[in-house]
Amino acid sequence: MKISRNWLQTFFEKPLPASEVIAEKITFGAFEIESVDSWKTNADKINFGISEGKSVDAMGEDTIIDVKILPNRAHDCLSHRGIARELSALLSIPLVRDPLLTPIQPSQANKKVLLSVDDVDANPIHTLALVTGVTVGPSPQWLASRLETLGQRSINNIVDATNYVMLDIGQPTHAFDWDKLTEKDGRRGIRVRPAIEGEHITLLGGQEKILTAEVQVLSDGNSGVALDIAGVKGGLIAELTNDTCNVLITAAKFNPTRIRRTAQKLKIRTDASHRFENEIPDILPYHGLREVVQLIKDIAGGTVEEVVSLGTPMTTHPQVMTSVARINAVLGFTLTESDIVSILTQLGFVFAQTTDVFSITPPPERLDITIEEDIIEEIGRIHGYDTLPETPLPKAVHPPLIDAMFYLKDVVRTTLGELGFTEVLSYSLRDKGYIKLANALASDKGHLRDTLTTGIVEALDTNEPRTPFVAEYTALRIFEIGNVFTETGEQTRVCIGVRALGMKKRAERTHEFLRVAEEALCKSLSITSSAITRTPETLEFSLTDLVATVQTSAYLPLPHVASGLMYVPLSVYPFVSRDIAFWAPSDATEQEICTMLRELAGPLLVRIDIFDSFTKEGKTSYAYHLILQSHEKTLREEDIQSVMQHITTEIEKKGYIVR
Amino acid sequence: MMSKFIMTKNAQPPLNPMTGAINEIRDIFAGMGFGVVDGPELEDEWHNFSALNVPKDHPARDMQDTFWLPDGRVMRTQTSNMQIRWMETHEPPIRIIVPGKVYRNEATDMTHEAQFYQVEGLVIDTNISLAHLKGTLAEFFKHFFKGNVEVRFRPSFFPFVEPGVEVDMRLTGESVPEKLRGRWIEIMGAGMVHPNVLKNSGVDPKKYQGFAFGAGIERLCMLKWGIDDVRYFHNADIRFVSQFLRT
Repeated sequence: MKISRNWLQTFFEKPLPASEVIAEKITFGAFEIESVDSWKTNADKINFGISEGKSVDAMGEDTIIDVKILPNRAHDCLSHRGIARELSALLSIPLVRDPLLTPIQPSQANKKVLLSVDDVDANPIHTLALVTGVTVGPSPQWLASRLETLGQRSINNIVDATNYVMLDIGQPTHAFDWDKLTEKDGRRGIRVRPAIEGEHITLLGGQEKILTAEVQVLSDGNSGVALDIAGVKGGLIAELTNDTCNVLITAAKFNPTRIRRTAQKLKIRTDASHRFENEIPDILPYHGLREVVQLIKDIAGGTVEEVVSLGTPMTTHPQVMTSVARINAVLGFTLTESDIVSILTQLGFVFAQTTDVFSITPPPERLDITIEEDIIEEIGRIHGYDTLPETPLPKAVHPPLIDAMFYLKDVVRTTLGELGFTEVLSYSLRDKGYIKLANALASDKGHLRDTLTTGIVEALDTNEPRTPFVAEYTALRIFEIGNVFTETGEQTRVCIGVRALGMKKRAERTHEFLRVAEEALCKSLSITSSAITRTPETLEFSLTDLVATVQTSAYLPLPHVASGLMYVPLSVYPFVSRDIAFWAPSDATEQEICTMLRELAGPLLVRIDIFDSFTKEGKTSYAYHLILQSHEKTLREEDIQSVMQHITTEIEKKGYIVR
Repeated sequence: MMSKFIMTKNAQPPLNPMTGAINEIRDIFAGMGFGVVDGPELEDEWHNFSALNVPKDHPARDMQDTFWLPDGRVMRTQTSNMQIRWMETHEPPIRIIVPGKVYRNEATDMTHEAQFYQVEGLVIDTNISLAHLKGTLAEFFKHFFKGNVEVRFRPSFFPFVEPGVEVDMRLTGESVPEKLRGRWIEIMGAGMVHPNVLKNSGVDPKKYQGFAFGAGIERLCMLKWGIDDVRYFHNADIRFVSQFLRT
């Protein structure tokens, strides 16, 4: 929710502290702050198409604080008043104005104005006001500016008034042109009813929608024509124009679940539907209506002829009980009774106290407070978590249970690790599988995998060309442990894949590696040959089926990644492999040779491995694989030649003989 | 008879960083008396949402993007399903971590993947508080990141905890990678398990209380080892895995 600092200031007498201070207080006491940005009138910074040539020089500068309001506080804090109330508690400063303090008055009068609601569950509170003799025109400077700092277009004084009140106290309201409603016996008005299946409505802005029977509409009380999708968006039929003289204002509360379903189904999301789907407090429509009507009178003239309402609002909040002991037990603080009294006073909560038990009445708009733990959170966040101690857990009474599946996975990793296998992870969402997702993002990831083999075979293909990069010249050996989703259910499986490298007898060597691996696995787990699914390059079997066979009282020692290791980002450009072999001077050590080669090869060298050495007639020969790669480009032959030539030249100067 | 082809027992193969991280996490929490468990990735609505106090048709369900199956089941969006499953079948006291794969219906980029790993923690007993949560996390970060650690909580909201907090961590010390040193980093969500969650799992909230936390393991790895692209964890690239040598 974007909050204007200047707007927030209108709730307080004394100047508020710096915006950074406000942001910090809110961050550590209430909500996450997404951003704090300064705003200047007519700046390029915010482009919102200042409408009808209005300049906004009255409010020169402002600061926009974007507060992240989560679902639990959407009913009271998607408004400046809500944030002001929070700030009042966090800074211990009183509010100088609070629209929600005015007592509300439900009104049954309906001489001119019709109001009926078919489904009270869908629309528990509804209020209407008829204001006659208004002059529709541009909004005053201050109002247009207030809206424009928050990126809202100024439309006209009536519509702006409704948007202002929504942003000020959180109640969406709507204005209909009274004279566009059908009159009968001197009366016009609204009937809130379910839409007829297939009913058609053209919304403000021109969008057409076909409605279904669960959608509620505000309809013309006499003709029955749909005027507005309740809680979501108004229709064109009773739209205001510059000629409008009389307006009917509506402010209501709608069933949050039904608004959410409607908005989802019709694929419309508005500021109004966002608030209604989070449930607004019963009292808010009354305040909203009063505020809008007053503002319209101030800026557009007119007379309030009639106010009508339906519904029984809950005007007081149910009590919640807690105790000092319980608060401290949950939070881990050692707060006293007077600490609690202090915090509740700061929060502006009404309370009664009997020794250490508190009976608390939160303000009616705090729909999020229903249980004791909600009060405890209020205490904790206002007190502040910065002084929360770091208490170690008491020593555990029993040693933890050994989990069979984790044990099995450890055994597999240990066994395969000893045979030179590298563990990989691949995607569970694939283009084929027994189970299809209802709402996949990508068409090639729309199914749940029912085997690991496909992923491993793909991994063998993609990794074969990479083997020199990892100094693997004998055989690519990989495995995955993961879950698959088959017609018999979810299973944890292991799949190993082998591809022998080099030119000679690849199929036989692959087969031999697999055979040795299978033998080792059968020995360390109790699997039988028949439980294994084979392809020429892979083996797959279920671990889930082995869980019952596990008998152990401890886990194997678990390997960790080497201490102090830092990852080196991989280049997106291809690598090249070059070999160099030479006779070395008799006093050269392997260590020195390696260091020398690394220095000479320079930054393009990403890997160096010795692959051969032998001594003949007192002389030692060494052979190295060098892997060269750039982080900036694909290396050309000249780049590579240049490096190899440089190495050759330099080591020959030192008495090495390149072969 | 010896095989003609000899399997080279080379210097040990690399350790997949996800396995390495999970092993470290297991060992650190085992030192605090935590067991490790996991369960299904394909979940029913009850264990993934309703039991966790996220009712049907409630905006709280929008807090994550979910993969749905036509029959109403889901790919679990967090490892918290195991909180319910474990509490449904075990009496307190409880001390478990759950490292497991979760799924989010989000577009993939350098810092987002549709499938990733989380580690859940759950402690339930008669006298567990938010201060115990702070102490436990401080101990974990100290061992996992190996530096001087400060932990701070900011108020937040998750349907399955009350109070709910966001957890930030700050590391100082020479052994800490420069990129991380001295900065506050948002690292996980946590809180006191909501009484509704306890009730839904058959645990008496009048007798028992406790905390829960959930952290993305890829995120922990990326901070610890300076990995810059989350997609390497699941695209089976041996060039990535091969960098992670064992102790």
